[in-house]
Amino acid sequence: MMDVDALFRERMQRFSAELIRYGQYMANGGVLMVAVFLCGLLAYYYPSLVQAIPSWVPVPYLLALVYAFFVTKTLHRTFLLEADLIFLTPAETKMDRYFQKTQVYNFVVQSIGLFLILLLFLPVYQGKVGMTGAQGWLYWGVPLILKGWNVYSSWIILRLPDKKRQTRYTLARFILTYYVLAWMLSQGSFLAYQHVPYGAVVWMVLLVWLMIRIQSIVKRHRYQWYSLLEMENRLRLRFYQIANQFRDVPSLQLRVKPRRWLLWTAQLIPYGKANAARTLYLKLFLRSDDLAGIYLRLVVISSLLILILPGALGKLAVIAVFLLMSASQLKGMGGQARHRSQTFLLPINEEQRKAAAVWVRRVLLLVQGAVNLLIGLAVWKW
Amino acid sequence: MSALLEVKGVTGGYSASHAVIEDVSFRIQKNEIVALIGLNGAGKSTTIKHILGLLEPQKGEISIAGRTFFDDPDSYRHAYAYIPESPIYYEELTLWEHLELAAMSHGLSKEEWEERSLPLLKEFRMEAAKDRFPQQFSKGMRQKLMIMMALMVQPSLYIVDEPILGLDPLGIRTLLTWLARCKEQGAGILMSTHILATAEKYCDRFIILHKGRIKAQGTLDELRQSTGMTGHSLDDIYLHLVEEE
Repeated sequence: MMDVDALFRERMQRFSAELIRYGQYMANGGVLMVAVFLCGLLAYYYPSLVQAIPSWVPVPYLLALVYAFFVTKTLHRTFLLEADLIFLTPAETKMDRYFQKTQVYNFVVQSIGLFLILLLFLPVYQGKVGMTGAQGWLYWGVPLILKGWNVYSSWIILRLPDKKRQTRYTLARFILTYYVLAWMLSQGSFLAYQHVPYGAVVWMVLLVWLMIRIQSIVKRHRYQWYSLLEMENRLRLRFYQIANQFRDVPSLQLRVKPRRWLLWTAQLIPYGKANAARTLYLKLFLRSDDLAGIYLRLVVISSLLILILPGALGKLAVIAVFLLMSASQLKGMGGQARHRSQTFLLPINEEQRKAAAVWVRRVLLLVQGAVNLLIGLAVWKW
Repeated sequence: MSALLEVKGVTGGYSASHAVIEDVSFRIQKNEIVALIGLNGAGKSTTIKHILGLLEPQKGEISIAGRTFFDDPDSYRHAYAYIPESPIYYEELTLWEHLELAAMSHGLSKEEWEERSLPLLKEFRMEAAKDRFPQQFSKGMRQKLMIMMALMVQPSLYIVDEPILGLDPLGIRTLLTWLARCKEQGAGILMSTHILATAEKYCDRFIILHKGRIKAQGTLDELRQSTGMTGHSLDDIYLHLVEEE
């Protein structure tokens, strides 16, 4: 007899052990400090940013769009392993209990994220629409209930083998979710005439249709093991990629992006024996999914902040903090464990490798600083 | 004249307490292909790792063109090209970029690189894969990438570990004819292999490694004489030697 409860406990323990291990590195990485600093900066400028929103902007409907996106986007971690396809499939009918538990897990984790989003935009809603009495309860409660319903229904939709049909049902979920959120946030004025919500009729029809379809999917289809495993692997990889920013994750599969549009930068380095190591390291960087992705994001975000923030002091602080962040991210370059086995593929010795990694890092920081400075000077009121 | 590669009384392995190979000695001269033959676990790969300078011998000495790894690590590493048994590559680089970087790091000029690599691509029928990433390759195609990188550099010494497994028949033929041509032009080649029929056909001398020691070495005729198996194939002689115990 298979004990699915024990299986779930064991899988959760394994995951939480990893989470705690990498969580420690993340907390020690100085990122916490930067996050606190950014929150402080945001808190300082937030009220004036809210005030700057013109009155013609339909705040409730836009917020509903943002919330509906996060409520509808439901990912399912299942903690499945490759070998489960062989060992667990015989016990498929007993797995329902196991997957109920993973659904609870996913609901809790995604609710925390949703809560943070609701918190982030609360000042906008309070400042532009206002919140009194029962509205406060609805603001927090309705999105979370919708989240629960989305977790439940999207899990069943995952049984469909056809991805196109899945997308259609996801769209239906989004529309249903958006209607409720928009109606709630606009305090009953969405698709309503003299406080009678006519939109609700259409909404009811769509909901009944979806629920009937969902019941028939449960009867007709079983679990799609391969796509469940694929989703689990993708989500696990994402976790490792985040953790990998702080510490080498040995089991991390490397993903590479061709990025042909950036290759010209590597071609600026002249051909020659002396430049082999620099060319190698620059290309390794350009094609890396994690490192270059983070660097590009940091450059874009810092540039945006420089555009938005008033005053020279704020701009300079952003430049400094983001340069520090990039520097700490790029520190690990070239030292990754995965490059160790390749050291004798090319006759480039250790010193040359180290020097090249330092050179690439300097060039990248210089580029970031230059981009920031140029944007800062461009928007400066001369 | 010093030999191209000289392995002199080498004892070594992964840990000091446990030697995998013991008192191994052989030489490789210019213009010859030498086969290193042995069962799984006989010490072929360990021997090769010692030659590459990745493991340090506990006893004995290895020199390429008269120089050891400790004399000058950089020129030692430049003196050979190595084709590994399981392909090693950078996931981030395309096939063509691998060739470019190998050319750069070995100090080839841009003209030499293009002159040498284009015919290689053609011969190994890899032109269509030029700008693709090795991650999308089959095992044989990755093996071809390793082979092309080594052949492009044109060193005086080739160290080839099990080159034939995973290659398609056309690839095998191209590799062996290419190696034979390198030999004609003066290179020395050490090739470890299990495929004795191929070894017999293409190699000038044979080193038979068994349980970490050299059991016999020499040309086919010399091996026949020392075992008294006149007229027998390499296969027969080899099986006779390792089954003796």
